[in-house]
Amino acid sequence: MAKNKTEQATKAAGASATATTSKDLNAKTKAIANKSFVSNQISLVTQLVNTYTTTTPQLLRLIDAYLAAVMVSGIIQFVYVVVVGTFPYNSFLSGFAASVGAFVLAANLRMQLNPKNDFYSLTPEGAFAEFVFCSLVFYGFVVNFLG
Amino acid sequence: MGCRILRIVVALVICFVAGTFAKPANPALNKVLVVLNSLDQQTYFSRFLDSLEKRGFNLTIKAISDNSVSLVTWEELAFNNLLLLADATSGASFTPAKVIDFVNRGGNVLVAASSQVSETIRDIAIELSADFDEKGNSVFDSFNSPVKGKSDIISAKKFTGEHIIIPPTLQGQISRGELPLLFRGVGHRLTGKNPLIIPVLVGNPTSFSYLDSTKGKAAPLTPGSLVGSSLVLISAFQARNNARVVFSGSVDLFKNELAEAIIGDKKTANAQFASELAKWAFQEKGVLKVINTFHHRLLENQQHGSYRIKEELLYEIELSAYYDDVWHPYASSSPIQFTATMLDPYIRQNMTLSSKVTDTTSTYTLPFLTPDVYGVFTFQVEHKRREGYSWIDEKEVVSIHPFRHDEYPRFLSAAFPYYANVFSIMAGFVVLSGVVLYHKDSTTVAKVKTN
Amino acid sequence: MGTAKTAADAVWLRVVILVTIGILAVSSRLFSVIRFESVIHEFDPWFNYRSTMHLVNKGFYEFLNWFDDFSWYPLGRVVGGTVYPGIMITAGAAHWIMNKLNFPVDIRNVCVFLAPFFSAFTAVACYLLTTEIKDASAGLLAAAFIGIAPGYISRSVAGSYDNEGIAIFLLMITFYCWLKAFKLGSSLWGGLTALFYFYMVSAWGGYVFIINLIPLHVFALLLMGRFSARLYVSYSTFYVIGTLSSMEIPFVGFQPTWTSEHMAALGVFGLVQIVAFVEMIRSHLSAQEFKSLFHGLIAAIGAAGVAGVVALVASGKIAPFTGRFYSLWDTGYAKKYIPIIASVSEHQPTAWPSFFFDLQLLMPLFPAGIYFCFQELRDEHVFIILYAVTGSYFASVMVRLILTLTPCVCIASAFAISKILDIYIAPPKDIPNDEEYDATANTKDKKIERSKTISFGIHEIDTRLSVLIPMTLVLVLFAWHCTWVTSNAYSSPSIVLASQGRDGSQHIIDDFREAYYWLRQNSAPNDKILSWWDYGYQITGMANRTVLVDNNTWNNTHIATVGKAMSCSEDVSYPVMRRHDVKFVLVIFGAVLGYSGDDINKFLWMVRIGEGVYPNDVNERKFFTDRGEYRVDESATPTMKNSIMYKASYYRFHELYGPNGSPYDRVRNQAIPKKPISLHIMDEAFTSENFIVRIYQVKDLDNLGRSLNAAASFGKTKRKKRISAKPVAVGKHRNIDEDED
Repeated sequence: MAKNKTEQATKAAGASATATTSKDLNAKTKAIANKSFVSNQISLVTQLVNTYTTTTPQLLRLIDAYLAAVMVSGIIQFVYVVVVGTFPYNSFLSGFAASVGAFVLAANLRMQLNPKNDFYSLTPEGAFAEFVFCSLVFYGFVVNFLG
Repeated sequence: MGCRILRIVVALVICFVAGTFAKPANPALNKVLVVLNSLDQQTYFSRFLDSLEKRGFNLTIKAISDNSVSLVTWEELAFNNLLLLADATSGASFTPAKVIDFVNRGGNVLVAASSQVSETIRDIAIELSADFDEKGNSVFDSFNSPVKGKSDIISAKKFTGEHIIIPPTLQGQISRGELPLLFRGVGHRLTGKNPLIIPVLVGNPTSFSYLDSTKGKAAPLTPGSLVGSSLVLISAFQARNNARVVFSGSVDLFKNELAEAIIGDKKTANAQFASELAKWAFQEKGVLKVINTFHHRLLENQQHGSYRIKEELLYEIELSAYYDDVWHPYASSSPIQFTATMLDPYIRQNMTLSSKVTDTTSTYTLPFLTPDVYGVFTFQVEHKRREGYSWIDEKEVVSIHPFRHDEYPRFLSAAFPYYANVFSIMAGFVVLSGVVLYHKDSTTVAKVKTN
Repeated sequence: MGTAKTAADAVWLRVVILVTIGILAVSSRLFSVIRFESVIHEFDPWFNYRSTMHLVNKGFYEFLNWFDDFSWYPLGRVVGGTVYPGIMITAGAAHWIMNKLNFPVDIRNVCVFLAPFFSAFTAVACYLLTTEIKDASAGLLAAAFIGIAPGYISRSVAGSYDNEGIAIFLLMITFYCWLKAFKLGSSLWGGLTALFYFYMVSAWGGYVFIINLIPLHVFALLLMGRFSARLYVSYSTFYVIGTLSSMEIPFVGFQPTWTSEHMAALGVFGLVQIVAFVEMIRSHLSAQEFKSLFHGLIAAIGAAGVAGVVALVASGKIAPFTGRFYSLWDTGYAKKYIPIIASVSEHQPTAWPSFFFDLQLLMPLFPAGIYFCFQELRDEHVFIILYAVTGSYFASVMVRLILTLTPCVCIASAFAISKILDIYIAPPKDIPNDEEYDATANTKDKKIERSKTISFGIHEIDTRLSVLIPMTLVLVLFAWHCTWVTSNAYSSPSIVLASQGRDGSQHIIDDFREAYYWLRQNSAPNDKILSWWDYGYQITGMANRTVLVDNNTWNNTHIATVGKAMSCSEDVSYPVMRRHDVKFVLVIFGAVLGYSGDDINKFLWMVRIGEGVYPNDVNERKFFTDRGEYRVDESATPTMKNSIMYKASYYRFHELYGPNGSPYDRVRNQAIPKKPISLHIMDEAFTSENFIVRIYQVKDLDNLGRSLNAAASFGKTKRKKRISAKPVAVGKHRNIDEDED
């Protein structure tokens, strides 16, 4: 999800930047400077994407997909609450917190499984057990708070 | 063993005795103490006293100077009613403090004064906000003095307010002059704002109070003088404990002399009037009783001490009125209000007479919604109209609590997206767990066992 | 070092020492039970006790939905939603378990002994926490300190059945879990932190301290550039679970989403997410430009976040800080604006002596410990430093917050002392204790070489003894002081007083219970009692009667009404009392005995609070003489002499001294006028043995419709004056309103 977001943002920025350059004929030098900056940005992003796809284990990428989905659900709920109003506030908090919490817990798991990070003697099994424990506790609270 | 048998016997005897004798026909217990200036005056009042006895009262007649009488013995009333016909003299057994104590304990008093009004009567009256005129003053009315040569006998005609002390028919007859009501005595004024006392009979527009001895001298009336309808002849007081006191400015009103007088060709109304006055004073009419109050949820039939906010309740009050020697259903001429108060009134509504009527009782009801405020409310029916009926003040403390944790609405449609989200995320968690557990990683280090 | 056998021995030794400390901690809190009896103390514990009874008798759901119509008449109090239920549930659970195990213990005894037992647990938690900070020997010292420190004992003696009794344990265990969580980067420990935090939220309003201190710690670490994935894991887990769970306590409700007190945690949570994201990007790109670029991004987002919070506060979306919170920043605030908070003695700023009284030896050692923390400055030391700084500040602002500082002081002092003892007991050639630390310490921290701190010349036995003997003496003195303070200052139940006769014999003054029992026996079950709020909990608890106000000071107006009723003249107060259906008025009066905590001494607060709401009826200035003195003797102002409080206190006081004696107030040291005080709206109903509690019965409206003043003077004056009155208006159906006059 991280990748997607940055990518899109940067793309949009790049597009607008090129748009301005094409429009603004008078400031060519500026445009060139911009362009070099933008292209720099783009190259960096592509580099980022490349390293991500090559170095990240598949499991972590799966978790990332889950993270992205959860984040989207959170954003949808936020939009919903802005549009509809906060009436069943506890339900909203519960739903929204479920998204945030699921995201955070999965991110924890991802970090703990990521071999790059130093977690002393924590084994992947241990990490997963911790994940399940926290999730169960958390969803318990979520459901209790929901209605 | 013997002791127990004895006890049973005593109990049976008591039951028997109680069953045969003490069964008062009316709520007014029937012991009356009649107090006269001296015992030989008894004959003056024989008609009136006989009528009382005929109605079942048990009269004890004493002179006011008799120091052996006490109104209260062993902290309990020795008599239920006091008929104070000693207009001019005082006695140690009937000091104002004793009479007022008697009233505070629930005893009824009928006080009759005259222009020789005693200090005792004046002191009693002033505590009850009735202020008798100076000693020696009498009520005159040059236009309504039916007896020739006796200018201090007037025929009183003016009633005030709507009350049940004197029945409307009699009131009409008296004010129309069909039955003249003869009055000889002193007037009084009602002082202050005491809401417990009401004037029954007031002076005619042409009546005035004047010092008897200055008769004939043309002393001008001062602004404070008692004239017209500010000159109260008879007033009725009902204490907060529903004890009743009647002040009559004329002791002669109760005497045979005026009751038997013939004015023109008409008999006087005095006997009938005195009898009605005594009936009211001694609780033979206008007595209200709350049989029961009952509040419950609209769909239940059980009373609770505590309700929830915004709940539909029904409040019922069962009332009974005593007159004509029996209990009747009470239908008020004025609205009966129900109030739910928590510092301030949250509900104040008129109750309606329901169709639930028995031979002796009627029921007023009010359906209402409990306020959206929690707290300890006082459900109160306070019915205090100055009509001569007993005061009704029924209070009950009921707490109104907020929603219980399981009484809030659930499964709101507005919240469905959240429910959906939570459950989908939980499903996602299961899926993710499965993925993590069963994932066979081809590329990297993560060695996940399936356990 | 050492063999496996000695290591196991050491563990057993520690366990034995800890158990001994626990027993010591419990037993040193039992003075009051031994000296008096097993009773619930003071004020708040009575409410907790009553709630616990409700919980035990009626069950959990009834407790949760409890609407208490015995307090705050007629407003009532939704207890379930306005209480931290932790302590009741703890006691209820303990009671239930013991009964299931066939130990039929009375719930009162469970309540009385709960705090002492939890103090033993606190000692264990403190041991664990300090072990994380330094080592096991420091941990044992810390446990011993917290076990006997008067600052903590003051709130946890037997009978002091109050939230703080279990909250300090929860505070410590939460902090321990937190240290454990971020050291290991374990979401399990993070979850445990959150669970203990949940327990803490359910137990004490001081949970706000946790939810601000932990984010502050995280923030400090971020600023120090010590972010790590472990920090992310532990904090995120803690915050997400902790916040959601805290919202399930009805009293807290949605506060974490809109009050300023909780916003720091949210902000740090957001910040941690951003930082983690950036770190992830960085891990994929080791390019230097990005680091700087994204650092700029963080700064921008952080600034935007702060601006957003400020905007939300300004626009009212997030509630500004509450009054109690403001009084933490500006000590004069409460006095100026919220007399009700200022009137509570435990909300006063702390005087210096009380620090030394409560912490004695630990006070000078505390900075030393903090110094050592700075010296090592591992992540957990940062935590202790932050705790020390914030805790000290709050402790100096409010007396009762010494309590939260005490554990920190114990830890830091234990740190310092164990450091000294480490050096002087075992010559530091072979620093045995630090081995296990080096294994767990961060790489960064290894820079600080332990050996540098060692100087030579302390190997000789005499130099060592010259330090160790005074050290031991000081510690013994400390223990001595703690016991003395506990026994003399903190073990009085305050519902039972004790006085010493000249010959040293002890007299028990039991006026409070005598009076409450009188009320219980002699008043109708639904009678309402008017008293100052201090005694509300006790009256509902002991006399089982309804009160107007109590120690849960949630409604200022209602308290002001009571203040008004107490400080106005009879004729003004009577309608107020009628309106609230008051049947009895209860005042505490210490002049006979010299009991200084009585109502006349608190009276100015009643006046002040009353004036805040009813400035037309109450005026504080009028209670002072022209010379600005607060007097109760002959020169007292008429307003003072006419007030209900004055009259109720000194009514028939002079009769106690006989016709020739001179009545003398032993609290205020003033002579009381001998002129009899007349009361016409109430009758004296009860006065306790030593005059401490006086109860008056409020009269009903006069049966004959007179004013009570007139009714009272009936028969005393010779003759009433004639009223030159207008005749009463004779209207149809005039409704009679009782309260017209």
